[in-house]
Amino acid sequence: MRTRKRWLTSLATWLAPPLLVMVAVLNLEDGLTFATRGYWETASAKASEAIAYIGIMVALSATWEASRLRSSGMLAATARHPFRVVAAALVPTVVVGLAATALSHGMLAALAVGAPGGPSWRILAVNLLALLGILAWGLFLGFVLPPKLSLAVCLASTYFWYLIIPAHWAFPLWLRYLSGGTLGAPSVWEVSDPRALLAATLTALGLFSVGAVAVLARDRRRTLVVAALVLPLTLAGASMIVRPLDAFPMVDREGITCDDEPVDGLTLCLWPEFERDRAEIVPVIVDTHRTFTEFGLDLPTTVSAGRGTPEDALWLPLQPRTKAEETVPQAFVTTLMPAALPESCPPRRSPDLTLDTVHAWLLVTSGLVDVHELRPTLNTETAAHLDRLVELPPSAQGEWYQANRPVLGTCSADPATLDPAGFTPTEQR
Amino acid sequence: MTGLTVREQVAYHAWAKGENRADAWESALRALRAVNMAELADRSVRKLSGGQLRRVGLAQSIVHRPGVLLLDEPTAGLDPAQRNAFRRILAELDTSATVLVSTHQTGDLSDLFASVIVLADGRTGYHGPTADFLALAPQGDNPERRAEAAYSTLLEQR
Repeated sequence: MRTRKRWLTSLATWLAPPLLVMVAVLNLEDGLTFATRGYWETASAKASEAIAYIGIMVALSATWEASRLRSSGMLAATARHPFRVVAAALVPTVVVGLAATALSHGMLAALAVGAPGGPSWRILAVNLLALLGILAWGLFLGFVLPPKLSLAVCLASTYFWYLIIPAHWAFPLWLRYLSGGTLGAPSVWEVSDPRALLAATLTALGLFSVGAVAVLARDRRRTLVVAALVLPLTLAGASMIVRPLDAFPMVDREGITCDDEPVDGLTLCLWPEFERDRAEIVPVIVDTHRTFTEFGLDLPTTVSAGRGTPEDALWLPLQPRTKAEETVPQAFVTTLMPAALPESCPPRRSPDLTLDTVHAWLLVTSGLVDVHELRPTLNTETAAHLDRLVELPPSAQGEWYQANRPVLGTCSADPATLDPAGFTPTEQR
Repeated sequence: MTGLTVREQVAYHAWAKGENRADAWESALRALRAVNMAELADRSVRKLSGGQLRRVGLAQSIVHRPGVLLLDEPTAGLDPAQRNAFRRILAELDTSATVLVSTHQTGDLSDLFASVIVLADGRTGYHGPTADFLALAPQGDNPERRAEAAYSTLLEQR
C-alpha cells in the first residue's frame, strides 16, 4: 500500500489530533502541576500515566487494521511473513503511539531538566511494552471478532482496563498496576516498585502472545484456545506479584551517599538531586536541627534525605527545587510526627487532640510559622494548650513533646500529659 | 480492503506476493489491463459491481505472474452477462501460467481448456482432452449445451 493511502486509511491518523491534545492536557493539569520537580523517576512515572489514552488509541487502531486484513483475506494470500504484512499495516498506529508517548515524556522532562541522571529507562521500557501488549490485544480482537463488534469490544475493554479499574472502589488497588501506567509519583527518596514494573511486563507479554497467535494461526478456534490458556495464566501470575502492593507502588531508594566531613557536628546524606541547592539547604538543616536540640530533643547527628538509610539517621523528607526555608522545617515537622495513628481506636477515643497540639508545637518550634499566625487555625482547646506550652522553658517543652509523642500510638483521647498546665517537667519533680 | 481504489487493491496484493512497492504499482496496472479493468483503476473498490469485483480478484491473482493459477468457481454468483464477460476475459488472458479452473457450471467449459477432469461421486469420471470430452455429446445438440450433454452421456455410460 502506498504511504499516503496507508496513512489516510488508518484510524490512528484520525485519532492522533485528539489524542495528542488529551495527552498534553493531562500533563498540563496533573503531571506538571503535582509531580515532584528535579527528579527523573517522578517525571517518567507521571509521563507513563498517559498510557491510558495512548493505549486506547493504539488498541482501537490495531483492531481496525486487523479487521481490514481479515476481511480482505490478505494474510491467507500473502507470500510475505504475516508479521511483515501486519507490521506494515500498523506503521501509522505505531508512529502515532510513539509520538504521543514522546510528547508525554518530553513534556514532563521539563520537571527534571538539569537534574542528574536521565529518564527512567526501565519505566519507559515498561511503558512501551505495555503499549505493545495492548496493541496485540487490539489485533486479537480484530482477527477474532466481526468488524463492528471488534471495535466496540476493543473500546469497551480498554476503557474498562485503563479508566474504570484504577478509579473504581470495587476493584482492588493492585489490579491497576497490570496496565503499566499507574506508577504513582515517587518522591526523591523513592523509586517505582519493581514488582509493579514486572507485573506490567508479564501482562504485556501475555497480551503479545495472544496477538501473535491471532496473526499466525490459520483458524480462529486455535487462537481462542491459546488465548483462553495464556491470558488467565499471565494475569494470574502478574496479579500474584502485585497483590502485596497498596495505593503507592514505590519502594525506598537506595544508594545515598553521606558527606565525609560533618557540618557543625552533623553528617549530611543528600541525594545528587540536591547538589545544586546544597548551599541553600545545608544551613537551614543545621539551624533547625540545632533549634530542636536546644529544646532538649535527642536527635541523631546523621541527617539523611533517604528514608531508612543510613539506619540510625534522622530522615528528612526533602524535595529538590523547593524553598529551603519552608521545606526543611516542614521536613523536620513531618519526621518528628509519628508515622501513623492506630486505626483501631473508637471515634471518641482517638488521640486527635494530642495530634493537633503536638503538630502545632512542632510547626512553631521549627520556625515554620509564628504562634500568632497559627492560633486562629486551631480549635479552642488546642490553641489554649499551645499558649500554655510555649510559656514553658524550652527544655520543658521538649520533655512535653517526648512524653506526648508515644501517646499518639495509643487510643488515649485525653492523656494526663497533654495539658501543659498539668505537666510537670522532670527538673521540677 | 476498505478505503482503497482498484489499482491500490491490486498493488497491495502484488506487494503481499513479494514485489517491491514500485514494481507492484506498475504490475497492478498491467494486471488490470489484462482483465479490462484499467479504466476503473482509480475507482473505490466499494463501488464495483459483482462482476467487476470478480475481475479485480482475477487481477490480484495474476498480478505477480504466477506459474499456476487456480480459479475456484470463478463465475459463481454472476448473472449470465457477467459470466460471459468473465469467460471472454479468461479466454483472452495473456498469461503463461497453467490455469486450473474448478466449476459446477458446465457452461464454463469450452475449447479454451486443453484438458478436463470430471469428478463424479468423488471419483475421476473422465480425464482427457476437452475436445474428446465434448465429442461425447450427441450430434446435433445445441452447441452451447455441449458440455452439459457430454456430462449426461458420461453419467449414463457409468
